[in-house]
Amino acid sequence: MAEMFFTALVHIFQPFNFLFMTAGVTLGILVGCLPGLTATMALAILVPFTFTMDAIPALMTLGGIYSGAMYGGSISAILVNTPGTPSAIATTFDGFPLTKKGMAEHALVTSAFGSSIGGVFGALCLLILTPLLASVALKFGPPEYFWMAIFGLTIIATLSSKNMVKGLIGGALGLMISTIGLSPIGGDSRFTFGFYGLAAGINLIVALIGFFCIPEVLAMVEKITKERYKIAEYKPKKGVPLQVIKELLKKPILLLRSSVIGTFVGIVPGAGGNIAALVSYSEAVRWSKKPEEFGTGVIEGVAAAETSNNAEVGGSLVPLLTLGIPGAPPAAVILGAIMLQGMVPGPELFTKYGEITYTFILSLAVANIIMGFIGFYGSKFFARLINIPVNYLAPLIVFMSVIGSYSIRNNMMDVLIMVVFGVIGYFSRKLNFHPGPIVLGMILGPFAENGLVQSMLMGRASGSIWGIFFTRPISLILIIMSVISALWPFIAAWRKNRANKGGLETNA
Amino acid sequence: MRRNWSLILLVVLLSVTLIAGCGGAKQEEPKKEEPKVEAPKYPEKSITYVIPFDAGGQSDVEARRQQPHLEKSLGQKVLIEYKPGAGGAVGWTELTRAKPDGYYMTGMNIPHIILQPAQRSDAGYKTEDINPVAIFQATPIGLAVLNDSPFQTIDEFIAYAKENPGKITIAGSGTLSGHDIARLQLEKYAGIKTEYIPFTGAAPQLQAFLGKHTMAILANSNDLVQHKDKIRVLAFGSTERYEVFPDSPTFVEKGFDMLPSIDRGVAVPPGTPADVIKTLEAAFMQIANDPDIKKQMIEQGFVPKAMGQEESKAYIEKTKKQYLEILAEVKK
Amino acid sequence: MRNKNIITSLLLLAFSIYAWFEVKDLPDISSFFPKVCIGLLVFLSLMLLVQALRMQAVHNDEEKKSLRFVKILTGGIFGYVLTIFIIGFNISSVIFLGILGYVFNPMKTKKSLLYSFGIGILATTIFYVVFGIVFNVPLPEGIIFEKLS
Repeated sequence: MAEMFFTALVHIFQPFNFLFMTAGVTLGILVGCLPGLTATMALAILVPFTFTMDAIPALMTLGGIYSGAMYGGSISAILVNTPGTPSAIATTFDGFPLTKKGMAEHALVTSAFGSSIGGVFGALCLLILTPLLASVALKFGPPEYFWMAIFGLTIIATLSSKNMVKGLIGGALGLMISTIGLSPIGGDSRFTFGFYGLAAGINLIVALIGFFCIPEVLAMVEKITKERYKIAEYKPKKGVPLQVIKELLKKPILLLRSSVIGTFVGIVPGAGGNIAALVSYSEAVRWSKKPEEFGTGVIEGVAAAETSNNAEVGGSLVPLLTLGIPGAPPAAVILGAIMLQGMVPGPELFTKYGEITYTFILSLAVANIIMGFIGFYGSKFFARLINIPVNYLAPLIVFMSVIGSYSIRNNMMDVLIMVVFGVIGYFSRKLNFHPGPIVLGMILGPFAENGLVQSMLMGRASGSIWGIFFTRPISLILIIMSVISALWPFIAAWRKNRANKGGLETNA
Repeated sequence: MRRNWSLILLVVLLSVTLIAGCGGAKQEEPKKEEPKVEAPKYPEKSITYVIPFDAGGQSDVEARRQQPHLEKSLGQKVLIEYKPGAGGAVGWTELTRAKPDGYYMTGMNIPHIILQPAQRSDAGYKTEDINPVAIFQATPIGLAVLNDSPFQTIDEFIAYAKENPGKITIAGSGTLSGHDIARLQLEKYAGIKTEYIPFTGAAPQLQAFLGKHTMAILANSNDLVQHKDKIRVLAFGSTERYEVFPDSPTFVEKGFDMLPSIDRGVAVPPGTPADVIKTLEAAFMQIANDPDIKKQMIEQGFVPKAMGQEESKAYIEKTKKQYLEILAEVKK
Repeated sequence: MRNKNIITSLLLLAFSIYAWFEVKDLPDISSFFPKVCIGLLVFLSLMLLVQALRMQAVHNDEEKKSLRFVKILTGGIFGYVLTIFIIGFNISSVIFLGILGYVFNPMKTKKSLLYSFGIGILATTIFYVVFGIVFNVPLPEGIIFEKLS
């Protein structure tokens, strides 16, 4: 084992391999930060370039791209409130407020550091615990996915402390939007009005750009008066990276918890960085001593989200390498690359091709460290982009949104949907509906529906349609977690009440 | 009250854009152009090869395998594009509306292109409009259980199903898809009832099956080969026994008139000039007959095929008749 | 906010009823989940309605904002999408970036107009090269050009 370790390191630090991996990380960051381009897309575009390479540099490059893109998404999330990839949705919650406070660099450095730590953690888990973790992936059947979706939806309760009814309505609307298109079980067209383009449903990224980006751009333009015309003032300060790192190192539990959540969610096939980040964020809120600060711009929020979405990378490769079942969409593309190199997922990868596989896994850890450095040094540069005056910035952002939404499926219909969602998003904001719950509903809708209907069919076969939901151990754990999570705002208020009984008035 | 011109302009602009944007997506008759006499210099620029599924899937891997060879025989770059959605329907609809100039082709899957328009009036395309160039791969569908399953042979499976109708759960990919139809055929010929659990793709169905959430699976040959050490194939959908599973009978052997399979090929828009198709056909046939590629395919569990344009057309016609019959029976 | 909430909840209820009609005739497997979601939405909309009715009607003076620019941008975006559809991405982008960059500039001078178009051309070129050539992701050509070729 130790010998494998050293052989792997030798491979990783070979100039050619190392260079390509670094190029991959950089490219990943750049693609990730453009809204509309996702990690999956970046990998798909660059896979052909890896054909002519040997397996090791090819996989190292792809691993670098995947990791880089997971961090890159946070850049646009922080600077312009638009997740560059879906995994950065949760990063906008505190990332953008930080930018508005003039602390964009703090947010970017937090993201780089957190992503780095999370990525290394995920890679190490992949390295050491794979056999153990692979079996976890298989334990998730339809009922477990259903309850996982329900748990995910209860996060809305934590996220929308200001007005839970509106948050829940947002979630319900998100669920409804996810039903547009062909039903996953049954194949009937729903809400498509005869447009074949809608049969595929509303693409998540299109909706993300619409809900997060356009309303922000419109809000920017709203504020143009005679003088003010920048989003926020960013003045470069000295020594920000070290300051931020010191702050974060004081919170090891936050980093550890986020990493664990990210890895674990990654292992569950189908659940990717977006869910990982959202769950991690909500847990950070739940266990924080000052939950009300989240959402106003605290680096803990950014750290929670970004640490877990990079940890997810390692997790998603667990079922991929052992069973050929991708833990998340980008992993599916890597599967394609693996197979094109002539390798087949399974035990062979760890024995016959062990050298390649272990090098790949270890390279993920190294890639994340490199990414951290690029992030630290790049943050000052990226943060400066905020200083572009709004009159240029707003149209530019729209311009990029159009490119982004078009490039998903080369379909103008997507661009149109993006704009329509943008307008709807603008009005929702005016009515105090936060886009987070809506998007969460859209993401979890398919999991909930598939899980529900498939389980009902399974239940019918075993005699009891509903029984199957309540008789399996993992399901029960998830149910308990969901109940606690849903009731949390009340539990938290009760605890606060008790703490206040000492003397001060409690809130009415 | 002053007329709010900006608001009126906004509304007008909005409506026009919505109509224009939607107009591009509404149902239209695919244009049939006169086949021009092409200058013999085809291809002169890069060709787009569309995959109507997500990146990383089986069709993608196959296209990537072909890409370098295609580029060599055609002398131009081949650009792979993804247009996923509705199980391939979005990609095939776009195919039927694309310019038939020979620079646009899309991977095609049978029986998808037959079943989709047959079941949905809003699929966006018709089977006849898919203009096949070649079929290069088949993955017969097999029925399998895990090694520790109580069913040792298909006869035991059927016997159990007869005594416990609706109790056996079979994981499959899609509703009224190739897998589902295979299940319906099995039920019909064996006289049993099972519970079919549709999943959204190969990975989810395998995950559910390997995790013991369903008792059996109807899966493509390459997936079965990948996990051959964990499973027992009870029956297979080829004409003769498959080398990888020599102990597994074929459905045909058992007296069931079914050859369930998912076949992959490539197609061009209707109206593409005949000689352009011939050039493309030749390029794909060369790959299909390449012994190294064939070997790779077989190792991974695919059945290499080399059907040219005419053969593919005939095959699609034949398969269409069969499947339409089955669908008609199901509807009753 | 009280009135807005009331209207919103009523709109949501209307939407739910419409959605119900859309899915009620679908076979059970496909209509079950939407129906559950619709039920949830109805329940929550009623809660919102009740909550709103119990609120005090408050008149707050909102900040004077430039809604004019919002309308311009919204119209501009739709116009942009329309023009892309007709004359293609490159030209439309230059026009869009150029015009709006100038319109939103509080100081309107000849120089700033040139500046905006300059930025427009620069940005469009960079992205055209990166996407169209490096990534091989085609950008819309516009129907006019398609009809011509």
